Amino acid sequence: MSSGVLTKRQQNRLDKGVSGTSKWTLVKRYWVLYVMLILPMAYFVIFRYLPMEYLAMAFKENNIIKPLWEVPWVGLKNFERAFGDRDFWNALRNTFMLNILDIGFGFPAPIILAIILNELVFKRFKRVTQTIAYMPHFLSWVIIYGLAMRLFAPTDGLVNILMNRAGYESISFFDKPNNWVATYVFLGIWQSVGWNTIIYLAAITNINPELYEAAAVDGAGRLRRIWHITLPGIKPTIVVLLILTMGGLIGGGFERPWVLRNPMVYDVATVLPVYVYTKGLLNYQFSLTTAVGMFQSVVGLFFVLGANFFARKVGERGLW
Amino acid sequence: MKTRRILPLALALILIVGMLAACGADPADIGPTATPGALPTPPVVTPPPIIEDTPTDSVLLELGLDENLRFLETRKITVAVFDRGNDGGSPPDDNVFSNWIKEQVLETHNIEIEWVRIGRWTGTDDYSRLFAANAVPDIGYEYDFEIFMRAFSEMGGILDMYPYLSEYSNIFPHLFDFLGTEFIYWNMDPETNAVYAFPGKVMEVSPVGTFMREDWLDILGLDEPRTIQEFEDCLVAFKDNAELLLGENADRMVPYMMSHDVRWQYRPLLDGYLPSGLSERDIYVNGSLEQLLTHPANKETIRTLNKWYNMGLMWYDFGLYTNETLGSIVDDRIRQGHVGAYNGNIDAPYRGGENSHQAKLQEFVGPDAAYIAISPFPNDSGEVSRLISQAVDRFIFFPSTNTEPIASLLYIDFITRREVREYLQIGEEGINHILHDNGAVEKLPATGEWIQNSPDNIDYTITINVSNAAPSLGDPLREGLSRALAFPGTDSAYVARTFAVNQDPATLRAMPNFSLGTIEAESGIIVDLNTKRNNMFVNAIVAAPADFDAVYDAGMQDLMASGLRAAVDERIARWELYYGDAEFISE
Repeated sequence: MSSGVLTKRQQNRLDKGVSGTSKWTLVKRYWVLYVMLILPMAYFVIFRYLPMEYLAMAFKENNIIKPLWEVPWVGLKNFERAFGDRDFWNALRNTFMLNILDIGFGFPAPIILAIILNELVFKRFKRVTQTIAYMPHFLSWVIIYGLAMRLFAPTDGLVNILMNRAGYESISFFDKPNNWVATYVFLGIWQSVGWNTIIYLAAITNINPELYEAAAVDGAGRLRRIWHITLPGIKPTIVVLLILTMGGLIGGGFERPWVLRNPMVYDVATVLPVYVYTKGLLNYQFSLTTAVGMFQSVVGLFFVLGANFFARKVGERGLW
Repeated sequence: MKTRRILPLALALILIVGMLAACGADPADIGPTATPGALPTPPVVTPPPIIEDTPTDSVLLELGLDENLRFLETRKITVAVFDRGNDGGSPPDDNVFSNWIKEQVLETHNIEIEWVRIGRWTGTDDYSRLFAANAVPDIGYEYDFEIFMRAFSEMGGILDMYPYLSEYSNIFPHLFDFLGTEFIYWNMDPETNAVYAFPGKVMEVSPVGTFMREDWLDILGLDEPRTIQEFEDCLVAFKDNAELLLGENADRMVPYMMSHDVRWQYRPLLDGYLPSGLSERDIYVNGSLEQLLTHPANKETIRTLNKWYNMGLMWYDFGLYTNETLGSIVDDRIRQGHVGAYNGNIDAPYRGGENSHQAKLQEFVGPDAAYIAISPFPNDSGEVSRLISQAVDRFIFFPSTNTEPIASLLYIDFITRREVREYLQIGEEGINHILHDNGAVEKLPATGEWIQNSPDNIDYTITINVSNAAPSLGDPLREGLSRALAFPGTDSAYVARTFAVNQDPATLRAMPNFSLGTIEAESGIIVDLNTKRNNMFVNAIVAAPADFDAVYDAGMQDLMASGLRAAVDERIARWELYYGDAEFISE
């Protein structure tokens, strides 16, 4: 219903209700919703905000035994130690590289798959395909690594055995840095692409079907409809997800690089989460670990803010 | 040679003789250099004397004890116990043995104990969490002293046991009798006398063994290799005769199997490259990382492996299988009979009953297939000299939150009693073991509540670690007889041979305990350096021969720049401070 059909008085009442000159009235009206909000809010306060007190460890001596306030301050010493370590910069470079490749190849993949699935005419085939595509999401990286080794190992891997029998040389999927990076990105896409289509498929279903019907009447082909209706229809979703993804540009998960790496590719496979674990936690350098983690969070926040700012600049709604 | 056919009685005798030769001396007593003797006593650490006199009534009263070392009022302590989570195992804090200990300690010393489970494979993580919560059990133990104990003692989280050990040694007679001052003051700081932990004793330290297919040697008419070159010749012969040896599986031939864990498996070969005159100064100065990494012999050892790799004598994929879930692939290749030689624990082919390497090999290949222990890596003097680690086991520590150090030490004293540890090791007769007329103990695979979650219950007997399948019975003859029964399904000749080859006291050289205090430069970097070292080894081995020096040297430069240089310099300075230009400090 457009506001054009409302009287001025009706519009004023609506605006008043939405803008909330009487917020207390709204609270009284929707108190059940506010009560339901207590639990998730408590979760965030207890598990997300209160632990932030321990960010102070980044500026303190390495000691997890004394109460935090009794541990002496050391200023930026832990940051200096991290920034003075070339392994840190190597890990930072690798994190950037792998995450940018993940975004470059992995971000569009679920969008493309969602559009393809949406275009499938046979619904049962679509559902089966979706289910199969979701499955890898539920596999741990240890299992995926095991499967990948069985398939791609140089001498015992099925793919290389078949290639050898066909007269081709084996491919070093895991033991040459460049090949390892490609395998890493490929496995990441394979594992997540199906699951990540869900949100895009949901966004596509929100597009008014009448738009497709009108376009078809006007003679638009399938690709035209995708380009002019589907993609613009899910663009806000794409932008929001892209902004959120940017926040993890120097973060990312630990399990995947940890499991997939091997001694021959450490120079490209050691990312910041792995650095934090090996350099920090395994050596009991908890303050160093906190400093690096804090650095990741702050830089990630700047990426999110920057991406949001850019999105709003080009006319998108952004996160807020 | 088909040793399997020799009469079992004769083989048992060989085994016993070998055992007697090998176990006559505690490995800790195997001296350095060429003269096995007493453990070196560094002049910088002087352990306090053991108090021989019976504790006076006033001392006992002060500690709240009666004349039988029983507390007048019940004391409560918490004690760590490893949780191995093994299939079919019992709760480590509630089973026949744990409950027996509780009852006995309460009765003997009036100490009430509560077990605290610590993950066997996640121990340091568990302890970290408990330290952060000030909830570490009063008695903890962990293998990693250099990194773990040190980190938390620097944080003030570990109690200095020196005052209690030095002042009340006559209250802990079994502990001092069994471990002696060498072990109890093993890590005593030479400057502060602090003792943050002391190790249990490993009753038998073994070098890494080397094994080769006996049937392949027979088929090819080869003698057992006795030099590095002969070893290589055998590997080449295996590769060249792959079709004869493996038939249609010839392409799966691996003449020499090594996993990614090079730094451990290359140890016998390294012994061949370490100079016969290796000084104790060299051992100390190069000792920041295992295997004396900064000693030049390491590079030559890895160069040889690089050569073998590029000759196709090693498994191409060896560096890839780092994930433990896939680690069994290496074992499987050995079991399937595709492997000519490999390194492992001295009983590696024979342990595991019907699932052992040898048993499976014979199942897949035939009864003639077998691995024999060999010793093909003599040093520059033509003699086999094998540098073995110190006979120290887990380190026992008390957190600084421990308010009952005397009760805690009395518990450890109790668990060290001969009758207690023997009972825990062999369990109940008829259930956990059979006692033969000749005194041999044959262990039985107990199930249900009588199951031992750890081998010989080492998770409870924390001051002793028996190894290589024989309980410590205080009698080498009984131990030898017992070991003969410990490898069911394996011809005892093979077991006897591996112990004879690998436990020959004339070839073993124990690492001294230098006790020169902690090296500041090693603080917080050792795990990282170990990882870099492991990666460097693998990358240097798989490098093209022409690139070997560049890859190895770049790896060493990275290690040096990452803190190893500073650590070596500090070790040199410390050695010079205490020993000047001496090369040897032992008697």
